[in-house]
Amino acid sequence: MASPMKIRARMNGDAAQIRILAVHPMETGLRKDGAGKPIPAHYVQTLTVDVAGKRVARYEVGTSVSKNPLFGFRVRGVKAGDKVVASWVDNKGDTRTDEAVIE
Amino acid sequence: MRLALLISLAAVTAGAGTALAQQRNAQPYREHVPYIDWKPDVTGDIQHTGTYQYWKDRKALNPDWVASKEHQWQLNWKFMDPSYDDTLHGGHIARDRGAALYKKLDAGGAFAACLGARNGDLKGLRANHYPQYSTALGRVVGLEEMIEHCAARQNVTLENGSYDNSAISVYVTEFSNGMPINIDVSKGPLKDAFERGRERFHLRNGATHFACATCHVTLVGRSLRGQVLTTPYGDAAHWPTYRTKDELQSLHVRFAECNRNAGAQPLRPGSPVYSDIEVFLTALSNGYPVDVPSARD
Repeated sequence: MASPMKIRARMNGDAAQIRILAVHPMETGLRKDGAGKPIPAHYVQTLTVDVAGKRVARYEVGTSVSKNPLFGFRVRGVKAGDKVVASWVDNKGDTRTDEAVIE
Repeated sequence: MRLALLISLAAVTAGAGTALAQQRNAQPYREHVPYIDWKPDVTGDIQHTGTYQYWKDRKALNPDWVASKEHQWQLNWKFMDPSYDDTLHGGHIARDRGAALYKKLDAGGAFAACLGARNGDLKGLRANHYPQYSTALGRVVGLEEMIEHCAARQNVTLENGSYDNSAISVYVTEFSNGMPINIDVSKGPLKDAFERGRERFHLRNGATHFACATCHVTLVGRSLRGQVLTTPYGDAAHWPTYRTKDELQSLHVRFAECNRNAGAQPLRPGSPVYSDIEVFLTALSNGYPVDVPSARD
C-alpha cells in the first residue's frame, strides 16, 4: 500500500501554484543491498494532474528522478475551491490517487 | 647538611615535575580562546553580525535579499522555514511518520508523560522545556535523547540520531511552532551545561584545528565548502531539519557531520558533550520562535 501524496495548491495572483510531493522509493535497479544483491527497480512512470476534471499536467517520470519526488507548476484558468486530483502509476503497476482543494 | 637539603629540594621539584607531566597527559593542551562574552539570548546577534533585524520577523525579510546569494546568509536562511515558505519537502513526510510512530507509542499516555507533557499536551514542550536536566537519566538531555529513553521504557528501540527518532522529534517540536525558545540557563545543571558548551564552542580540535567558533564567529558570512557560514544565533530553533543530502537530521547528527568535515572524531548523538553544545546553541536562540519542519541545503 503506497503512502499518500502531499498536495498543496494555492492561488497566487491569477494562477494557482500546485505542489505535489509523492512518497516513493524510486529505486533505479542499479543499486545493491548490504548482501550484494541488486535491489529491483521500482519507480514512478507517469504522474497525471487534473484540476476541476480537466487534465492540466502529465509527467513522464523515470529512474533519474529522486526518492520522494516533488512536482510543482503554476496553472492559469482555475479558481479557489477547484479540486486537484493527482495520480501516479509505477513500474510494478501500483497506483495511488490523492485529492486536494485549491486554497 | 646543606647538601642533603639541596638533594631533598631537588627531589621535591622532580616529583612536582612528574606530577605536572602526568596532569598534562591526562588533559592535553588544547587551544581555547573564548573571545565573545556570550549572552543567552538571540538579540546578541545585534552586536555580533548585526543581521538580527533582517530575520527577526516576517515583515523584515526583504524579498530581494531572499533571492540574492550575497544576502541569504544574513537572513540566516530563515526564509526556508515553513512559516515563510509554503513548499513541500521530506520534512513533511517525516512529520507524518513521526505522528504515526508517536500515536503507537503513546497509546497508553505513558510516553507523553515520560517526555514531560502535562495531560498529554505537547504544546510548548520543545520551546520551554528542552534541553533540560532529566532526573531519570541524571544528566542534561535534548529532546531526541529523551525520546530514545522513553521509547526504551516501552521496549522499543529508537536510537538517537536515527530517522524514526528525529521524525518523532519533528512531530513533538511542531506543537511549539511560533513559540519563542525559552530555556533558563542562569542556574542549576543547565548553567553548568551552558558554560561547558561555551567552552566546547571555542575549543579547537581535529586535523584542521578548528573550533566551532572558528567558522561560526570569525568567518561568518564567508564561503566554506560552497556554503556561506551563518551565525550561531537563532539556529537551534528549526531543528531537526530536512537536508537535501541527508533526509532528516537532528542537531546532534549535524554536530557529528561538522566534526567529520573538520577532521575531528565524531561522537555519538546524545553524548554529554553534544548535549552541552545543544544547551549553548539553544540558549543563543532564546526569544526566537520554533519553526519546523524546516529545510536546509
